[in-house]
Amino acid sequence: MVGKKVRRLLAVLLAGTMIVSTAACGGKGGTDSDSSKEGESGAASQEATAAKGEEGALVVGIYGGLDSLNPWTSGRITKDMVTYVLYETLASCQSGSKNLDHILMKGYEKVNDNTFNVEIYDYVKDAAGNPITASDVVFSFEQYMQNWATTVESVKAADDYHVELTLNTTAAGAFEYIVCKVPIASEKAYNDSPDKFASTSCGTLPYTVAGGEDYVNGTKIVLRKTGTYWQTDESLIYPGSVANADVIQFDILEEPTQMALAVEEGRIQFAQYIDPSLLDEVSAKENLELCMVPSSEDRGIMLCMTEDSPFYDNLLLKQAVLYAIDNEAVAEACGYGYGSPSIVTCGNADLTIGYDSSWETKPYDYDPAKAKELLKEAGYDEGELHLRLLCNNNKTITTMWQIIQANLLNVGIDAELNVCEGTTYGSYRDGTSGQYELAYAGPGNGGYATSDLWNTLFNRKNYASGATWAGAKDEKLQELYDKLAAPEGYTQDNVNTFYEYITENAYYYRIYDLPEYAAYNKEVVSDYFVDWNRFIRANTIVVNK
Amino acid sequence: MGKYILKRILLMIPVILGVVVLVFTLMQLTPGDPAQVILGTTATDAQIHELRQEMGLNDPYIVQLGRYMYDVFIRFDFGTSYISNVSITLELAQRFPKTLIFAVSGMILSLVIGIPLGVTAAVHQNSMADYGSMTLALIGTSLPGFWFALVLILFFNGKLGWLPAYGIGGLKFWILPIASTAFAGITTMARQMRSGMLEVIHSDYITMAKAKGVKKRSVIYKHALPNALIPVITVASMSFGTSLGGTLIAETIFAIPGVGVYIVNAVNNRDYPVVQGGVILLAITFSIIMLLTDLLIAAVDPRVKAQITGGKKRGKKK
Repeated sequence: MVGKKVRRLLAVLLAGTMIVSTAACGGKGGTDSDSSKEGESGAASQEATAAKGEEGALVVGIYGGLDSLNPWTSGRITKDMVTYVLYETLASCQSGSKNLDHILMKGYEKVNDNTFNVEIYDYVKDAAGNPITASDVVFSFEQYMQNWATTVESVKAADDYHVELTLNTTAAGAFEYIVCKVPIASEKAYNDSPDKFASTSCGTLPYTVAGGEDYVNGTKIVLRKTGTYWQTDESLIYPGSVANADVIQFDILEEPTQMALAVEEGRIQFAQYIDPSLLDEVSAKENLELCMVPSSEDRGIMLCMTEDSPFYDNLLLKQAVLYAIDNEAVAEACGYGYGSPSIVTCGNADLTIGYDSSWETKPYDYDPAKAKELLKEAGYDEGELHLRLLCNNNKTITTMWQIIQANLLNVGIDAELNVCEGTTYGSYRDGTSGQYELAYAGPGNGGYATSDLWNTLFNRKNYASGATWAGAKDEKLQELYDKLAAPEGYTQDNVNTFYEYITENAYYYRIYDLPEYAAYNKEVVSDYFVDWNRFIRANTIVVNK
Repeated sequence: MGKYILKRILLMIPVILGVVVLVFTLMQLTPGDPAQVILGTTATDAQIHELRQEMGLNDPYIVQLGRYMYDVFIRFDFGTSYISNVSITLELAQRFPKTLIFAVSGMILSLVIGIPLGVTAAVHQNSMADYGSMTLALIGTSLPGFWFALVLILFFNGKLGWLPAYGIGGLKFWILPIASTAFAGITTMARQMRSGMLEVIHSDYITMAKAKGVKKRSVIYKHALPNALIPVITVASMSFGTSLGGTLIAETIFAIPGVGVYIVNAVNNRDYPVVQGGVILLAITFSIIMLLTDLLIAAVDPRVKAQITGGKKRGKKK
C-alpha cells in the first residue's frame, strides 16, 4: 500500500519538475505571444537599470567585468568595449588596413626610422572641460606603459601640442599600433578624480561614468552623454566617436546562457558576444540578428623546437603530425557549424596586412594515410612516439585539442593532453619550459604581422632564451623576420617569402577560424560601427526611437 | 566562559597567521607570473623582468612574505590589486556584505525550512510526509546549481516577469540568487535533521518520557529536538563558512559582485595581494563563526558547557 503511494508521489514530483522545466524553457519558442511577455520581463529588468524611465537608454551585455574603469590598467577585450566609449586615442585603424584615421592627432611626421613627431589638435577638451595638451599625452603614455608591454622607447612633449614619440623598433605597424591603443586623458582630471578613475571617468568622448550607482563593479556600468564634444568640425569626427544613445548601460553577463537569454528576452538590446553553442538558438529568433566580428585570436598549434624535442631537425615528423590533424572536424566541433577549417598556415584574410590569396593552398590538409607514411619515413613506428600536448582550459580550445589527440592516436602517435588554467598555460607555453611538444598558440592577429602575429611567434629578440616562442633557434627564420621588420621592409615579396618559409618548415599551423558573433534586436537597433574589426562600439549603436 | 572565549580569540591569531603563510606560499609555488599576466603575451622577457623588479617579485620568498605580513598586520593595509590598482580593502568592503547576504539568507532559509522538514520526516517515518520530504531532499542535492538557477530565471523572469534576472538592487534582486543557492542547503539540512532526529527519538530517555505520559509535542520539541540539533548546528556552521567563498556560480549567473568571483578571478590572474586579502577575510570570518558555533553548542548541550567551564558550576553545587 505504502509502496504504491510512494510511486504515485514520486510520479507527481517528477511530473512537477518536468512541468516547471518545460514551462520555464518554453519561453524560448519565439512566438508572438512571447513578445508580449517580453514587455513584462523587460519591466522587471528595467528596475535593474539606472537608466529607468530615461529616453534613449541602450542596454548592452558584455561578458566580463572590468575590475577598474582606469583606462590604462590591463584587462580583457571587454575592458576595451567600455574604455573606448569613454576615452579616445590619438588615432584609430581598422585591422587589415594600413590607413590611420586621426582622432586627437591632427597629423604626424616621421623624423627618422623610429621617431615620430605627433601633432594634436589645439582645442581638444575632456568631458570636464580640461584642455588636452602634449603633456597629457605624455602622462597617458606613461600610465599605459606601467601596465602594458610596449615598443615605446621614450615619449616627450616638444611643445603644447607636439609630442615626440620614439620606438625601440622599426617594424611596420608599431607606430600605428601604439597610437591606436593608448587612451588619452587629462592629468589634472586624473589627479582630481577621488579614486584615480577606478569608478569614475573623464575622457574626451561625450560620455562619463559618475560612479556611485552608475558603477557597480561586476554588475553594471552606466554611461551618460555629456552633450558636448570637443570636435565641432563634423567632417573630422571619427566614425567611432559619434554619440548616439543618451544613456548606455553595460550589463556584465559572464554566464553565456544568461547573455543569450538576456538578448532573446529583450533585457538587453545588444549582446557583445554569443557563445558558439548558442548561435543556432539565437539566430532562430525572428527579431534578432547576428553580427560577425573577425576573431583576433589565431587558433593554431606550435611545435616545440628545442634541441630535446623530437621535432628538432625532423621536418618529416612535423609534417606527419600536421597531416594527421582533421581541421575540418575541429572547426565543426568547436564552431558548432560557425567555424571553418583554415586554408593557410598562418594569418587572417580580413585582418593580416600582406595576406595573399596565393597562400590559400590548404597546406597540410587532413590526410591520415600520408601522415602514417611520413611518420615511418621520420623514423617512428606506430605507437613508438609519445607527445605531450598543452592547451588552456577554454571550452572551445579544449575541444580542439581533444580532437587533435584522437587524430594523433589514429595515426599511431601516443598523445597525452595537459589542459591548464589560463595563467599556468601562459607560463608553460614558452617552448623552453619543457612542458610540451605540441601546444595551442593563440597569438593576436591584426594589422601588420610584425607588430602582432609573427612578432609574437617568431621574433627571437623578444625572448631571453634567444629562441622563438616555441623554442626554435633558426638563423634563417630570424634573418627573414629582421628583413621584414626593417624600415620599408614590409613588402609583399618579403611577407610572402616569410610565409613560405614557415609553411615549408612546419613551424606553426593555423587549424581553424571561428569569428565572434554579437547579437542584437533588429527592431530596436538600426546601425553600429565595428572598430578595429574587433568589437562594436556601443556609442555608435543607433537605437530606433 | 569569558576565559574560554578569550582563549579562542587568542587562538585565532596563529590560525590567521598560518593561513597567511600557507596561502602566500601556495601562490608562490603556483605556476604563472603576475607580471606576464599584466603585460600580456607580447611582453619581452626584459619587460617582464623589469616589472617583476618594480613589484618586488624578484626578492627572496622570505623578504616578500615579511613585507606582506608587515603591511597587513602592522599597517593594516591589504595593498592594491596588481591588475586594477584598486585598494583591496575598499573592494572587499564593497563585496563582502553581498556575500554575507547570500550566506546569512541561505543559512536562515536552510534552518527555517530544513529543520521542520527534517523533524516532520523523522517523526512521521515511512509516511507520505517522510517520503515526500526526502524525495524533495534528494532532488535538491542532485540538481546542479547552475541549471536550477537558469530554470528559475526562465520561469520567474522570462515566463512570469515577476523577478529581475540579474543585477543588484532591492529585495527583488536577491530572491532568485538566494533561492537558487539555498535550495541545496535546505535539502541537506532536512536530511541531516531527519537522521539526527531518528537517532534521538529511538533513545531510551525518549521512550521513558513517552512511557511517563509526556505529551508527544513536548517529547519532540523539549527532549528530542535540542539533542538532535547538535550535529545540525555543526553542519550548518560548516556550510555557512563554505558558502562565504563558494557562491561563485550564483555570483556569476546573477552578476553579483561578491567575494567568490573576486578571489577566483584573482587566482586566475595571479593577483597575489587580492587572493591573500580575500582569504584572510574569509579565515577571520570562519574562525568567528566556529567560535559562535561552539558557544551555541555549549548553550544547547550541557556536556559541552561543562567541558568549557571545567565543571565549575557543578562543583560549586556539590
